[in-house]
Amino acid sequence: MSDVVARVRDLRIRFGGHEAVRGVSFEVMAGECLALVGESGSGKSITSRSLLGQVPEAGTVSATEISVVGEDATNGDEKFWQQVRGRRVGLVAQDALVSLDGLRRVGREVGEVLEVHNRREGSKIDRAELRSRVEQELERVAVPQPAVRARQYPHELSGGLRQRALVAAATIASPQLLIADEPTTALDLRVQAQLLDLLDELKTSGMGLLLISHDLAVVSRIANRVAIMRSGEIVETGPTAEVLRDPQHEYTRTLLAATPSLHARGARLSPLAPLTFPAELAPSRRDGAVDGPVVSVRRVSQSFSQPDGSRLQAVDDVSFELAPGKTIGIVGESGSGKTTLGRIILGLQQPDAGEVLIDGGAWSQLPEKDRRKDRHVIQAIYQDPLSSFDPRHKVGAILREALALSGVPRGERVDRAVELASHVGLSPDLLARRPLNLSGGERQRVAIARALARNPRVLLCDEPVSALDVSIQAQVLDVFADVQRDLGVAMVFISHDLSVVHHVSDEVVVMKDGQVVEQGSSDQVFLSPQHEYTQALLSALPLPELSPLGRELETDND
Amino acid sequence: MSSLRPDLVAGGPPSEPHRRARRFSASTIVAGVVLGVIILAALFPGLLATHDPNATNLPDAMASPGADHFFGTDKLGRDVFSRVVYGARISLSFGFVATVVAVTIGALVGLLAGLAPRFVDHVIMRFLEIMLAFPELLVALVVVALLGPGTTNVVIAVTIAAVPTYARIVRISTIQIRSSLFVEAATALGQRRPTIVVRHVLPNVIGPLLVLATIGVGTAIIAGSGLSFLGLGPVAPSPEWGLELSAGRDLLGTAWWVAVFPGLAITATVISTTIIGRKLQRRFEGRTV
Repeated sequence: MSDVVARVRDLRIRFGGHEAVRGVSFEVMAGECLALVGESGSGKSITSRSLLGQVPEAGTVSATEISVVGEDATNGDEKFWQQVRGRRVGLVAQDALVSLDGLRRVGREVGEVLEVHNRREGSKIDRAELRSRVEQELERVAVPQPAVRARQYPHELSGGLRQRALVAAATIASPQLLIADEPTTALDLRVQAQLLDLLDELKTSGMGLLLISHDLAVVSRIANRVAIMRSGEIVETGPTAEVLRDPQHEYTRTLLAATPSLHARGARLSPLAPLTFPAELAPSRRDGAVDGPVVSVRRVSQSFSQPDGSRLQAVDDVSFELAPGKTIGIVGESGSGKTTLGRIILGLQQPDAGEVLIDGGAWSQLPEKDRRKDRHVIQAIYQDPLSSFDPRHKVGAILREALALSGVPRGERVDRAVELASHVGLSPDLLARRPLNLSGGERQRVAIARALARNPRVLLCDEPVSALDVSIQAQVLDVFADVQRDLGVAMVFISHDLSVVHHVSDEVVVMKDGQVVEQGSSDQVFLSPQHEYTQALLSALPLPELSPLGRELETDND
Repeated sequence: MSSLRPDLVAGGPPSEPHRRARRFSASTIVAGVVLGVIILAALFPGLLATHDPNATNLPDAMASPGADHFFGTDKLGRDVFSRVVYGARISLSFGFVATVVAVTIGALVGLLAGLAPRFVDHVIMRFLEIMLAFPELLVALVVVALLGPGTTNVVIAVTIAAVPTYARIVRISTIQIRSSLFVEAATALGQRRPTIVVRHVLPNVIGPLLVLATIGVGTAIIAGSGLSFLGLGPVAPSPEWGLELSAGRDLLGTAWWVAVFPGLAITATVISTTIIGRKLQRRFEGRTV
């Protein structure tokens, strides 16, 4: 019994009339990782907070049993929980920049748990000892130069180091249970892989790990067992490999089907029926367009001056071509210049050097007034559709504006907007709503409908699914596939997510620090990566043994 | 204008539609009633007044408040209550006229600064900053000193003093909205620049500004009454609150009501407009991005 670090039986959390958690039971053993997997609103985070006594006051918690490190916590009061937090149960939250106090040095933040617990116990920890404990802990979580880092402020650390510092703050008092709530979500792939390795080591050293995540792929790397949550209930639980290979519950199957890295390229990801798009939405070409690539990027460079006076080379000599009806994926980590490149292709930013041709004609070199009449050829889809809509406009007005630009007479716009909405799978009553009151997936469909109203030949999608839950991401990716199949629209697909890019792209461009480090057909780049950066990115891809891509990679290496 | 949008982070359906406070708090209700009565007094003073505001009645001079004279009488025997009622029109017109004109001019100047090439922006901003370096009342005093006293000139002075604040707010929100993603998206959609300004920038700038203007009405009333108090505004026997206050200040020891009631009227008006302005502001902030 001694190795059970947390046990919850029949946990229920109620907010007013809404039951957010409905009878959840689980155990976490020492040296084991249990992953609670679910989409937003599934109740996974709030469930984990019940092990810290940090359920918001508005919530009523009831459970047959909550025990933490062998102690009954079912009726624990605030005093009890203060002894538990940090010392027995550590918490690593999602966003390190928000979770760390920007006005305090990192070392102070990491050491706070020790100071607080010593003070409560009436002893005072010696300054030098505290400093050395902090440095030891930073070293343990692989923060280089711990003595230097401890004296810095959170903004002086990179995202990966901040996240490590947060782990150090959670583990310094050697808790027996560590709760990691979406610890890798905001991180680049390589940093994410390093952090998962670190959590794995902590687990091996005997800590119990409760991992909260929306991403089955991430979870599969380190979790011994998974519990799939939906609407406040655990719908399926079991050893990770078993659940992933042979899911029993319908919802688990939907989640797995929605995860791109588990499927062959281009496979359908969502259970929804394919959409069909009529010929009236077919692309219209530019006047005087010539056959050939629909987008040509020729030796484009762009630099920005930085606050300290130096120049940042955001895009450095990038060239590629996109054939009509095909998809090119642009992959890179944050800061690789992919978004700047996207803005240049859209003609929103004039490059310092090089040029972009659209439909064979001059584009990036044109003055805006000459470009405007041809803007319908290339349309944009953004990561955050909500802020790409005028906050004062309702969905109907948003679509009618695009239709008006396409020359649809005023009297027909209302009907056309309804048709447009139904083509992308939106109900007509949404036209009277504001985007703020739509779900993420609905908002992205509105953005797609708005773009299609202009009859584009090219869709430039900048991280279009990064903010969405996996099952919604699957639906939106399927919409893109339907659009491309029926209308022959070409796509520039910008993303940090390799598995998504692999799923949609015919050609791939890998960017790092503004430069293209590798480009070619999707198979070529993903199956035999030449550049070490691409190799590093791919080896950081979670879940190698379960994905077709991962299997092909492994057989390839043999 | 916070950029923190928790509903986006997860990307799922928005949790709980934004719950807007529909019920009014007691203070808002009181403020609304007070302001309603004052506006009624400004529009139809005859409905509320019990006496002719300018009718002197020396035998009745300095009568203390009572059933016949709610707020007492001044040293000429004029009914203070009726004078306060009739004064509402002049005092409120200071606030409303000056604010409406100042907001209009400020919005135009701010839009120009926010949209024009950088050197135009620089010239406008440096000039506004010079004006902003002095307190509003001081600017208004200088203007009145140049134009000479009088009701119209006080309104002009208060307007000029208020313009820089509005212009600066409009400029900032113009710049903010000009660089927002939805303006970029409209450009990428192929929308013309003038259309973008009229359709997307202007409405998003004006909304929050109107709310601020409501609060500004109070400030303008104080400035206008202040100038009148100093004898730079309407001339006696006009029943203006600032002027009344000034006339009553020597009588505080003997007939406090002559000064106190006009003073209370100013205070009540300013507090009410501020409360309602803040209420509108809170409502509005929930809806902007």
